[in-house]
Amino acid sequence: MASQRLLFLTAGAAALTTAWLVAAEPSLPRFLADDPIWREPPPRSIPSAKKQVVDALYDFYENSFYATRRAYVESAGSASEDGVSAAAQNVNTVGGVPDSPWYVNRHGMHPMTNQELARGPGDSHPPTPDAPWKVIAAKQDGVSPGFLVEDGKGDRYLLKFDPPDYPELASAADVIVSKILYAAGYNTPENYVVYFPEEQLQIDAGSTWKNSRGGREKLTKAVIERMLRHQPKDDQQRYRALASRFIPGEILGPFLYEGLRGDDPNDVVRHQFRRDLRGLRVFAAWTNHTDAKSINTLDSFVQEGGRSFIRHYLIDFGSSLGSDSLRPKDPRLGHEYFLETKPAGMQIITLGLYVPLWARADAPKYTGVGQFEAESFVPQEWKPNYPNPAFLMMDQDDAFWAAKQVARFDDDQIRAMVATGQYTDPRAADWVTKTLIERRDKIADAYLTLPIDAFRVENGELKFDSLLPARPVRPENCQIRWSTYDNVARSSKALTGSFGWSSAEAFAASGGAGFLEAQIDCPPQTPSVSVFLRRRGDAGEVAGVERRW
Amino acid sequence: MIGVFVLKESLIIHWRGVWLWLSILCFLMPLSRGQTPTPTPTREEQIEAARDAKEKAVASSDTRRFEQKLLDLENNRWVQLVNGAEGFHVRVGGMRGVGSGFSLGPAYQRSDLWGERLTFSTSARASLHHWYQGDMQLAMPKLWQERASVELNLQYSNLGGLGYYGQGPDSRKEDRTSYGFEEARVDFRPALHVTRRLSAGGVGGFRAINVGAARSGSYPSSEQLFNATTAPGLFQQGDLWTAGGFAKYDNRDSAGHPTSGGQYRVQYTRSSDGDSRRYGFDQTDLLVQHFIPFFNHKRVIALQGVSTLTSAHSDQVVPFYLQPTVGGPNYLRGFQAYRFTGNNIVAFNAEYRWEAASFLEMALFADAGKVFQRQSQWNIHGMERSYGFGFRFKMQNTPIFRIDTGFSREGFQIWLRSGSSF
Repeated sequence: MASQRLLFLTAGAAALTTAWLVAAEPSLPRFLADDPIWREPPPRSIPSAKKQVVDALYDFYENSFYATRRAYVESAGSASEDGVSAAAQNVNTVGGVPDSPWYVNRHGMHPMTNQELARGPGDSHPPTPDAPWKVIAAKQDGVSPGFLVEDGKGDRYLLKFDPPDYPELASAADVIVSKILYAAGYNTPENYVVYFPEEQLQIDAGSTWKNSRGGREKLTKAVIERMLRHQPKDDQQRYRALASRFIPGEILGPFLYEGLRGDDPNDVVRHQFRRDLRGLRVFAAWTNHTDAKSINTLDSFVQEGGRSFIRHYLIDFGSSLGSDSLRPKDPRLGHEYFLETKPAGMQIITLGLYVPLWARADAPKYTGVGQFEAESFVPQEWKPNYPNPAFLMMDQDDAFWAAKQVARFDDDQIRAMVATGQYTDPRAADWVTKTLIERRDKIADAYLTLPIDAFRVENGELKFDSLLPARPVRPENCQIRWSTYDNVARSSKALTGSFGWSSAEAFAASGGAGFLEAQIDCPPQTPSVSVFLRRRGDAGEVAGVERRW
Repeated sequence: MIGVFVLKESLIIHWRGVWLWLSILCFLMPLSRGQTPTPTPTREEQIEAARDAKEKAVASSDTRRFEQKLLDLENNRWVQLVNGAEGFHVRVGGMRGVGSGFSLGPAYQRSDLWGERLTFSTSARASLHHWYQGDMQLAMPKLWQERASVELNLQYSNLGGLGYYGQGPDSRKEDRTSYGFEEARVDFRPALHVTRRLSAGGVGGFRAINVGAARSGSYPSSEQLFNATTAPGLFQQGDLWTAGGFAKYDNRDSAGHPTSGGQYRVQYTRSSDGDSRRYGFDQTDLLVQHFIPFFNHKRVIALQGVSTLTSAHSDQVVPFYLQPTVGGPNYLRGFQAYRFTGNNIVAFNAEYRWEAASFLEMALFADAGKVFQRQSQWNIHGMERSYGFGFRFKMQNTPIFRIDTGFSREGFQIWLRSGSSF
């Protein structure tokens, strides 16, 4: 009997110890020594990258019928739709997105001046007017022509024209939104509104154009004249167009909003788990960029600083604001997918007597504005033309990340970016500015439910910024509770005593703890936020932020 | 004894085991509290490790499921033939008349001739019911700085079985017959575009017509039930020369899918069969369409009125196969096609259209119309009525095909047609 007891005792001790060790083992510390990082390590150099083709019809079909949030979570091996595993992955410990070939922190981190915002990705390389532009190729898209031209410096541009019945519509939208998205941190092409006389265009030897049968023919002056015959001219007999400078590097084709590029070792986070792409939904909603799909993206193989790697761009914003490229935007766009059965069923059943708000909202008929308004805009319900995998995956943290950047654009800054669209009617610029401001405010109301951020330690105290001047949050309106934090076990233990916002006092009372957690509640807002401080000096430094919704 | 020894040995072994586990436990306890002997990686090192792993597993980018097949399909020459509009392609549907069944055939189109001033198109189609049609069109739509246009149309059609129920509003549904209709025609249509909305021009043409027994359908052939009095021109046809003019004001926002504005057109033609002097007549066609949008053009009241008035030259008649009709997919949709035939018609359509989705428009409609023999009977009394609902499937905001179901005192009809109703 004794031997049996000893046998059980030994086996029990072994099992207990093993279980304890297994339970304790996983863990890398939550906060690593270099957290939070704001820049990914430089991209790894790769010798080459393959071109990628995305079929527009297939992209529409795949995403309209198969793209669901659940499917993407499950495809990533996650157990729960709402679990932690559905969270974005290219995120630092304070909820930010480190700089990478996908995204660069700009206005959201270091406020840009109005001049910088208007400059966007660049304003020093417009096609030079002092020498003719050689037309390399041309195409006709409906009644709107498009030219590939090379200016006197040898820079190449795509010249895109507005629909003749709706001057300034697409060119203004394309330029304005390229500036906004650039300031937000995305890579966008240099876009310019240009005015030029017909003589500016010179046919290059060997130039071709794509005829209506899809064939290529030699480009002649007569063809260019025909293509331009419907285009309006200003009082100086000049055409207006959008000149989009060629993106540097070797063009590889679009990227997908899901999965990974197989041939890029730097591409380690599935795209639907990238916060920059998920949060793009908020920027797209703000600017009504309903055509945010793979076809309107571009990967470019670039060489910089002795490295060759892939940089990822967003392109073609002609279907944003009130424009749908070839016509004003259908008011339904932004509110419903092309294929959506539920609202269609509602319309059929009610014989159209149910009238959604977007069908009642109006926009003025100013030149170049199209259908752009804020009255019917509900940020959480905004939709692109068809489901976008990354947008489907956006959660509250992604939305907060994007919304706080949207809120960073003040009224003057928005006006400065709208001015780059060069509307000839000042009422058009005013309306677009006003609408962007109203949509910005709706986004802030929707997603910035506890609008505090930029946590830091100053003079021994934990500080934060209130994100919305209209709804200021002050420390005296909030409660703060201090705990010691076990960085490996990831557990907190409340500190006794009252330290207010003084992290120095909290650290002093912590018995030598390496980390503290400060839980902040600001009633009546229901979300709370925990700020994690790493011991550094007497008062510590911010190592991470966690929001609870 | 041996048993006792063994027992004691095992006791010793087990005590040793307990001590061993306790020793390991004491050694590992501090480790599990974070005092890792190996250095903790930094975040950057973690990212680099992920890149290392990806680099080892690097592969060419995957094309998504079926995507490559679709790309191949779209680039397939034969598929491009079906999809194309310019050059050689396949034309589906669009045959003249009602009742042809599914039709298709080869087509060729060029819009870029003579510096895009001249367009040329031609097609030949055959249907499941053995109807045949060939067309050729030459058009110069942008003459004189787009202030003038001219069209020349040539058409041959051999329609196997058009419906005929007899003359006038009192014709009986049970008297349904069919007749074969063969025609070769040339039409010439010059026009002046006074403004962008207003245009006027001339029409002229020649028609060689042959009417015979029906080649398709299950109805009796017309000559079995009707004669030269009840179906003028049934046994003898003639060639017709036509000349006239038209005026049109069109301020619709879109020709393919109008939601606002209207179209107002009047056309007068004089037809003569030359020396035989049997089938000469004058014809006036009136068309009024008006579209009233509301709720951002997502709801539209669409109204249409049409009237065709014919007047036979003295001692001559309007042949039954050229008389206007009501009933069918356009007017009186609750009645069969060609249900009422007479010298004159007047018809009205009213539709309440609402866009249920980007790809679907719904409609509730009411139709009224009648045929009458004398122009003095032009009024709204004694009209036949029908009503119904429709589904209009759209692509790029243009109806591709529609399914209209119409109800009338004679039952219901379901119409599958391409394009919009009006």
